[in-house]
Amino acid sequence: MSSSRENISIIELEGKAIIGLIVDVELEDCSNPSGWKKIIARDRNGTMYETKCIEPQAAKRNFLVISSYASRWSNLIVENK
Amino acid sequence: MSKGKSFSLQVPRTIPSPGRIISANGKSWIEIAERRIPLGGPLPEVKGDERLIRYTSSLCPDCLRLLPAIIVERDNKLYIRKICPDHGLIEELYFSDYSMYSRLMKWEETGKGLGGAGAYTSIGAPCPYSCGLCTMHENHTALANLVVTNRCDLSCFYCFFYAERAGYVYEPSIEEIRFMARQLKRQSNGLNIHTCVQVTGGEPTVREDLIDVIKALVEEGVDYIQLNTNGITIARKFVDNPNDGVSYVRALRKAGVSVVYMSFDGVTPKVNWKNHYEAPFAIEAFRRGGLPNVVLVPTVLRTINDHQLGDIIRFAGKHIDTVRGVNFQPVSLTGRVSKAYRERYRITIADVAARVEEQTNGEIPKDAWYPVPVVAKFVKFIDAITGKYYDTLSNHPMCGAATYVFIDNIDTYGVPRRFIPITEFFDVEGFIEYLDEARIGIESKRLGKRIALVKLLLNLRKYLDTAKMPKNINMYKIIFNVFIRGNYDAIKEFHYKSLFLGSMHFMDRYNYDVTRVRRCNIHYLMPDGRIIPFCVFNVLENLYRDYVQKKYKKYDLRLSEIKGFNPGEKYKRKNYINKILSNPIYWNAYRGIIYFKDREEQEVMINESGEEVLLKVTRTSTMTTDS
Repeated sequence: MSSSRENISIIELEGKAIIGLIVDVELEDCSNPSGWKKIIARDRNGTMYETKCIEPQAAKRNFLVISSYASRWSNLIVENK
Repeated sequence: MSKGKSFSLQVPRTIPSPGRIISANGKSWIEIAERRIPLGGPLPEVKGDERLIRYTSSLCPDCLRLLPAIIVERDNKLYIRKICPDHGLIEELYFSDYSMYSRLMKWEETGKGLGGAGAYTSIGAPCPYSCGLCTMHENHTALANLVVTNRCDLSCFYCFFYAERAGYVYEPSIEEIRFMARQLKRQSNGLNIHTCVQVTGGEPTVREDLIDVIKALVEEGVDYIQLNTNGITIARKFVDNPNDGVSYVRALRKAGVSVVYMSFDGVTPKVNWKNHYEAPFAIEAFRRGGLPNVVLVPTVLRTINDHQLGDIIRFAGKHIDTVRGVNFQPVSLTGRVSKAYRERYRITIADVAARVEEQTNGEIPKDAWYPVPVVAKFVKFIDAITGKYYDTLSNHPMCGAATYVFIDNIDTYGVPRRFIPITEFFDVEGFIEYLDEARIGIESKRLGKRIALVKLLLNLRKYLDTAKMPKNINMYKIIFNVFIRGNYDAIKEFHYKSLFLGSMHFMDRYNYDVTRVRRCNIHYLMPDGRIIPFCVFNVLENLYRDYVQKKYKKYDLRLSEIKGFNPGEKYKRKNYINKILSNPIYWNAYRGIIYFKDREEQEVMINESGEEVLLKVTRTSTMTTDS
């Protein structure tokens, strides 16, 4: 997922995942600071998003939340998606 | 016999999720608390005159169905909209000022999960049906509410929580309270996260063994204890015998209470019918008892008390030797509420900030308010410098905002003549941005810790306008002491010289935003070992608060009534009002804030000679905030 990306806040990305707009999500390492990570996501239209670099534990937790909505729960939350 | 005693006080480290998704015959729902909660609805559309701000999930106010929701901007206001397949479209005011929303949201900050606790519950269903707390939760507990009783000495018409309405008395034993404190303390494991408990109710002071409750919390290692009270017990003791009131406060302080949250909805008896007459005596008892850390907590309703916010701040300023601040709480409309009623009473943090600006003649502007996560930026810098892992307040920027103000001068009654907000002499935004950049530099090892601190000091003058700084405060010295000397007493000094103004907006079923709940850091301790976010505990009360408290009830009032059981004495003002009104403490507390206007009505008749004859003179006295 390396095409041009729009910056997005975690709260906004989480919202998109909740309603099933996000189809792909992954964590990417940051070099500054080293060890921190950003969340990369792709929506149904192919638009790519990236969050700012965040602490690794926070990145993993938010990745878990966004991927849980994207893969499991959004189908239940939004009818006729 | 306490039913609660039949429950085990030991629970697995991770308790199974209270909710779980069930799918059958093409339908899905959540099973929780012996109920079936429906799942899902259509995504609402954005109308032509609106701008989409973001998505979230929310609840149907009627059936608690988990629904997709949109937040839109229209005429500079934000609205949340959702559609329940069974109960139709629900739209509610979300935030009253888009410009302020944008300014607050840029301070979004990540949390530290559950600190050292690990998950309390497994994940069986999406938020908020797996509480609590699960591994998805963003923030550890900043403030843990502990309901020590649901008995109350008042019977407020809007409250459904107190014992008589609930039908039972919930009052955890000291043993259960110790267990709940230990569950909370798990979050500090291996970290420097402090535990702070707010003892609440009902009305906690009706509990006869309250001092023992507080001592037990201290023994379990709770770092800070707040007491949430209407102040009536303390005032009543004081009015009867000042020594009794002061002794009670001293006992609370000695046991471990360090801060008091006291309900205070306005300055006149009409607006603050709950404790207008009693609050001055409670404050006096706290003053004399050496507990000068009172935070006034007004619940703000539009058209009811939103015209008195400035006067509440002036009242707090008049009593700044004892009152540390005001925490305005925009109303959370519990239960099923009509749209007309909601439109009449709904108020948001933006409205509170606007009213404060208007009612302080622009002295405390809207721009002086910052969202709570600003504190997280500050703490994360200290973490980076010290290598420790302190409490981080990274809740959703829409949950709360705050500022600090200083008093420039007082009038002959001790009422502040002018407020100086911290933003008038300190560039909060620039300073926090520097801390954030420096923290990234330290974490990247591009910037040494000492160099970061030296740069901070060198740049500090840039953020401070010493000419505008209040005379009684030296911000340079405070920041130097905190960051260079690691002396956090300087923060205490800051708090004693300033007035904290906060606004926490707890949600209800109409404006519910799940992205806020997941970041909540004000929680409730439950006797089953779980810790529940505030707006889950009180908004999905049937599934969490009432469901669990009923299981752990101490007495069933319907059974006890037969035996003549009384859940507690109710406060009768008529027994105290003469003593209150004849005591100068009452009059002095409000002098300069409210005024007593006398009105005279004459009844006359015209006699046979056409002259006016005075029959009767009636004098009435009313209270007003207009001088």
